[in-house]
Amino acid sequence: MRFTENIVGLKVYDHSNRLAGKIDDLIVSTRGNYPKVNSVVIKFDQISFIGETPLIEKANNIKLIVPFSQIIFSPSKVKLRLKEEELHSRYMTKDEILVKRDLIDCVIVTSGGQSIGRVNDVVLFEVGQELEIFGLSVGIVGIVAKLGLEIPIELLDKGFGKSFVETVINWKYVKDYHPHKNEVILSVSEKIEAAGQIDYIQSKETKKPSRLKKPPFIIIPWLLIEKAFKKKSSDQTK
Amino acid sequence: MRFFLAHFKLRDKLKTVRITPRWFHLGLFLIVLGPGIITGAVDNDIGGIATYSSAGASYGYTLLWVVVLAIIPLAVIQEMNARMGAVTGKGLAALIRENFGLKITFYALIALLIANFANIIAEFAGIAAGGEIFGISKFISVPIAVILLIFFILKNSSHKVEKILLIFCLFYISYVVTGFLAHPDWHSALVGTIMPTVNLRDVGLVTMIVTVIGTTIAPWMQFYQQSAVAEKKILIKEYRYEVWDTYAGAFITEFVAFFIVLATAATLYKNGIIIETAADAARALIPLAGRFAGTLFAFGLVSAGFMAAMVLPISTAFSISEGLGWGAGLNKKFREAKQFYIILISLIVVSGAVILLPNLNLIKIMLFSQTINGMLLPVILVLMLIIINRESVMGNHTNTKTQNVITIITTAGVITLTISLILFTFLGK
Repeated sequence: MRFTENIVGLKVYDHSNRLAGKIDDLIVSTRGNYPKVNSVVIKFDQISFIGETPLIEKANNIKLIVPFSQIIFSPSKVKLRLKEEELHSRYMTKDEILVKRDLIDCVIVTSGGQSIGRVNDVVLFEVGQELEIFGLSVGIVGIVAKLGLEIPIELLDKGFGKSFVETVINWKYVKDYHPHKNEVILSVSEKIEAAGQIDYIQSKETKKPSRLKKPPFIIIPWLLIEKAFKKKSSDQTK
Repeated sequence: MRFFLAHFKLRDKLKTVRITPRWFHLGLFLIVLGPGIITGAVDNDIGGIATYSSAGASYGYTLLWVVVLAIIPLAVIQEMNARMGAVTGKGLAALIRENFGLKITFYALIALLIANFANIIAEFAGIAAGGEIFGISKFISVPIAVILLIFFILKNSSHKVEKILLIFCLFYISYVVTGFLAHPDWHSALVGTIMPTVNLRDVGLVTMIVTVIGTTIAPWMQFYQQSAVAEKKILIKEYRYEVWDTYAGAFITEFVAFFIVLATAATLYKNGIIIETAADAARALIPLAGRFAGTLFAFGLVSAGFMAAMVLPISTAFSISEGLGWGAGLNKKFREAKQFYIILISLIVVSGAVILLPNLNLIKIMLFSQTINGMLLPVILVLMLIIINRESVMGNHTNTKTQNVITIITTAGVITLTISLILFTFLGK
């Protein structure tokens, strides 16, 4: 399971392992139950060819659409399979959308016309060598995680002894979407609980580690409390 | 829903009934009228009244030109919000989220929530102080105000709430009457209005000028007016009427402010009385301008506090809900917009409860709110400028070059003034 926000910004290396640019967005075809990522938008730092055509001078910060089949995707980096001049950049078609630009931050509206939140992130699944949209992350936990404030959740997770869940609405419930209106329409009315949820712990494993250093003034008292709890429970079992 | 049907029916009726173009335009203007005038009127809330009273009490008629001049930035900035609301049909929080993502929206909304919360507390303080002038204990006036506010909000659609607020706007006449009752020196007032005098060595005077303009333009106004335009479903073809509504709002703000300065200059300044809060001004006016004038001033205070205590929570709840994608608006039922109503009611109840706490330092709360507003305003204005120039959002209604020059100069001026205000606050000068 991958989060779009973690894929966007990944460094892209060329076939000889030199930094070429970074991922700017993902393109999915809207046909099918679970749309597949068929291309990625790469922002090249510098480029000398567009397709096989050499440029008169090197162009900087150019965005090109590269088919997913022409990259090797791994969670930490992306590598181009082909040389720069062999890449076949392409255009977007009518039935394609950009995941970050057209889906993230859209309002989610139920079939009853009720707004239930905004898309915090788009969850993807790796199926073999491909990426498919699994669903839309929505809810407070997703917001907190996206803001880089994972520490309070981790502490609450430990404190309450239960895992907080990140609500993900399965893509199968998405009936329609209007990128120009920034709206995603669901086929269900209000019973979103049925749509699907992912444990925060489970989602955390696939996310980038928090950039925040854990402040010792929170962690130390917490560790002491935890130690005391453990001691108490071990005493009780004795 | 009923309101919108009635609203659209009336629009159609105006198009079919044989009326002269002048009456047609007036009719449409009266339908659209509301968001701008209400925003302008609520701008003269307890904090505003305190600032203008203090300006008049400390510097007499010399600052009247500042009050008149403040109309320009106010009108320019609010017009942008009216246009964005009419073109997109969305509030400012939604546009910020869709254009700049969650992080910026979240921190902007947190700042807005904190600043507005402090402001709402100040509004209840005004209601409490105004009530005490009439001999009503705050333990009676504040709970009654809380209950009435919740009743008005829960029982009425946004259209009815707007009507109630428009009626409250009329109560600001009390300040105009007070201005006349104070028997001002009209010649000095005229000189103070048309002859700007700034002694840059007088730090107190410069701080007061900055404070007057800083009080006039606050972030909640941008959020409120745009969401009100969006919720009223004012279309871009009716936009020119909304512009007049906005300009009328800016005029009303400063017209009322003018008479507050006039009233306090003619009485408190003349007798060397320095005040800190709006209630101080009302109390001091009684022996100087007569019981009727003082009572009117206090009545205006209660009415302004009540009006702002209704608008600010609505605006805050709407912005937060919209930014996070929850259902929002007074036309929605509770189950359709749970989060919106919970935030709205909590803000009213908690602020009311805070005012009843003993030893509350209101001046500190006001300064805190002013500082957060001052920090948030530049961010909001810059985001607004970026959004209003995006063709993908505004279509053909982006700023023209002239509008950009005016708005950029205004924004830069307002940003400089608000940063100066924060510096003056912290330097204690």
